[in-house]
Amino acid sequence: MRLTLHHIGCLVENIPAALAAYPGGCFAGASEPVLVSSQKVRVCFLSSGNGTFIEFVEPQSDNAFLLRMLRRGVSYYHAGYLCQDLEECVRNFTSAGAHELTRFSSEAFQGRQCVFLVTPHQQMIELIEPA
Amino acid sequence: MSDELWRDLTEVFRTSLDNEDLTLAETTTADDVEGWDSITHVLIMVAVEKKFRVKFTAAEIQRLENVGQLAALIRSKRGGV
Repeated sequence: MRLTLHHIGCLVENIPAALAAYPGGCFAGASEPVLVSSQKVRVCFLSSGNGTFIEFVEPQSDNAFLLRMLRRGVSYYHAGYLCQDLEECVRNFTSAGAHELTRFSSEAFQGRQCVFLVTPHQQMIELIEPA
Repeated sequence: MSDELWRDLTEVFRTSLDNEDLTLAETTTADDVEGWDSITHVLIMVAVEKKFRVKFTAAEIQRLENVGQLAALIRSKRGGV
């Protein structure tokens, strides 16, 4: 089973300011920012034009975890993958030593299930249910 | 518990929680430490796994109630070292 890279998640303080630093001539447009309420973030997808995106992630004021990462200077912090069978992908990752961090229904993906995992090497992976 | 294990465990928590002043006791729980939420809990456990070269199951991670239990679990995984 193969995964398809969908996006690289990038922490930002402010989505419009982040977008301004990515020249329009190099990208194929950005989505409207969406509030993912359960995760306490606003997100916006900047398209590369080939099916992959940069996901700008703006933590809300009550998101202590991501604000702490932002203060540390973390920017790119996770890779998001579309997977045909979400549960099988989760099982494969956990069998390889990853731990599940959270799962939620995402407004950014029309309510589809997403699961965040962390690998034994402390890399964060987001798995996204197919459309 | 060995001083070395306690020192390394404190270092992992301080790094994970971005709090260099953090002190731990065996009875310390998530409720006692600012920023130790459910996501951070798992990230701390992964950092502990890496630091001490041990592996926890999801059930073990969820069962832990305080730092003393975590230290005991590490010690048991390492054969009492």
